[in-house]
Amino acid sequence: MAFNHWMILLFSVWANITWAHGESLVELDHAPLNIENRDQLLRGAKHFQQVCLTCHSMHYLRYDDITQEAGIIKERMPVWDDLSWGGRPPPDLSLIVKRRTADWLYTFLRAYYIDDTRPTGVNNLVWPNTSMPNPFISRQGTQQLLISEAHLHDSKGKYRWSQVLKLDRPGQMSGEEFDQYIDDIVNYLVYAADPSYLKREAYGPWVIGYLLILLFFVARLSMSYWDDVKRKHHMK
Amino acid sequence: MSLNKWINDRLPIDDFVDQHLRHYYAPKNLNFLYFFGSLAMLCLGIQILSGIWLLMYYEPTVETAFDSVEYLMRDIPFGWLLRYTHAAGASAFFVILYMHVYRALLYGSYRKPRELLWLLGLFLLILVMAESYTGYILPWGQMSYWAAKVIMNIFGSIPVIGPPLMHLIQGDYVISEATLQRFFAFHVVVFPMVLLGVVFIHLCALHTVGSNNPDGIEIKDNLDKDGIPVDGVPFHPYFTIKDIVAAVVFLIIFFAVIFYDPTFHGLILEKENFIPADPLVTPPEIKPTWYLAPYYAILRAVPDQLLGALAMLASLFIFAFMPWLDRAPVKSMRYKGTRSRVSLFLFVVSFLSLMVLGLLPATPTNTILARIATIVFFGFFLTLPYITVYDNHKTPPDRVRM
Repeated sequence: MAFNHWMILLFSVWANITWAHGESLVELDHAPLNIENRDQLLRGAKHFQQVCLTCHSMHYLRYDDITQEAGIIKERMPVWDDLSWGGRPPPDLSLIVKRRTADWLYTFLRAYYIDDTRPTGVNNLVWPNTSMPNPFISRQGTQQLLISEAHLHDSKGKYRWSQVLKLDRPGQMSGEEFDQYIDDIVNYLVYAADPSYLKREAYGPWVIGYLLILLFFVARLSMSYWDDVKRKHHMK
Repeated sequence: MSLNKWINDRLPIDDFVDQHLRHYYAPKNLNFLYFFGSLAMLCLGIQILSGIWLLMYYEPTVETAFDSVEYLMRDIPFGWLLRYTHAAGASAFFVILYMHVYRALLYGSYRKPRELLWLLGLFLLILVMAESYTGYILPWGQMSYWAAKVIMNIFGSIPVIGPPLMHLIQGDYVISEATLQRFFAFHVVVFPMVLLGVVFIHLCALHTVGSNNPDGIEIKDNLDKDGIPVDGVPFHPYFTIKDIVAAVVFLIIFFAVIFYDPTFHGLILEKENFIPADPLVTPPEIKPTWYLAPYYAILRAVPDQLLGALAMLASLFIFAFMPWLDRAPVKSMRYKGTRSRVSLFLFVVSFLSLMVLGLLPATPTNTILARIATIVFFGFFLTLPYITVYDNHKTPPDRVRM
């Protein structure tokens, strides 16, 4: 009886973890992250400045050198009224990776398809019925959905976006070029969400290394004190 | 030398150190579970120090709270370290406190003559919860705001005095800047001050009755001709050095988390709290922090809100009765019988299950499981007087084992 309950509990924990992907209709791709590569971050920042900055701000990254070098400056950041865009203005992207994930963004930005029923003319597999238009149509081209929407909803999370979307009109970039382009942006956004990442990775080994050396000495000292106590205890 | 004498004639520092470190005898068989008391003090120190520095940059207004935290994280040298230390420190504090309480349950450290020590500890645990809850509101993210709202509604659900009490704590009819600034005052001044005072009293009580040990026998029952416990060793140097080893091990784990996974998959800083508070948008699910999740699960498991709030309150205060509920002739689980062991095991499983369930959405299955776990949780306390009497306890040895 009790055993069964705990098995159900374990199962429900597992089920909640595996099915908690959120609203995406497809399995998310894994975003290749390479935050240590400054060139890639700068490329991503420049793409951001050319495309994303039209609608989105980068409010919390004011004094960052990569951001400044890419020309993402406060004066160029759009400011939206709360009531603009039907009450849902484009959000600031400084912390978007914390709210979503890198994998989510990497898949989302490539999973647009033509849908005439939407006001923007496009829909998205990762965020169905998003109000964000596809900003990369000229680079990626346009994609068509290969299966019916109903089938897609039934098979939630079973496919990858590339299995159910077909490029019907190529854009300026090849598939690989576009993947790299989006990956640059995602890398920049990951960096933007927590610029301390690079510093943490740099300091980490020194701090922990120091503590490990300290541990060696204090553990030896402690053992030498306690050896006496143990010997006396066992002599009785 | 003469300065030392001059001071000690007027302030007995040397006597104090002698009495509480060099000639304070602790049982020599204390195991690793006994590290968590001193580690809790270390955590309190870390929280106070990192908190002071956060205080220099944090601005407690609705307009600036969220921005000032992000500004600290990005534009202040080592600001990220201070903030992550303070956030991870809160979680570490609760890991340590829960281990500290578990140790007490395992070895019967709440039994006579340590009842008051136990009650003071429970008061400290509740204070740390209040401290962490008020601190959680301060970044003014989505979860901060909605967590404030949920807890304030619990106060509001108390009959008669509820609504005025809720308005008194909130300082307003809704959660607003007045609430933020009140919580700021509680978090920075009121609770830490009381906390430090009660920690001191907790230590005074400890040094009066002395530490329990894994065998649950009193070392003061076996004194040598000088009146020193034969199974005791001076706290300094034996336990100061041992506690330093424990502190270094703790810091290695602590800093590994801070440097490599500071949000700890959303358990230390959840992703919803990286969205500024928005009173118009309710998050899809309102989750408590992991360390308060068991109590939240109990609150949700009871169908009625007021009864749920009472059950939640009871789940904390019922610990106060432990010294009188446990009627076993022995203290330590080492010499307690099978029933007591199974009972404690089920209690730990129910507590951990409630923790997991409190973090999950309240689906029908989860609610049923939370109800079962709640019954097991309270069942532990209610059956204790019978289980501890009708059990096949063993006889503890006269002297501690090592």
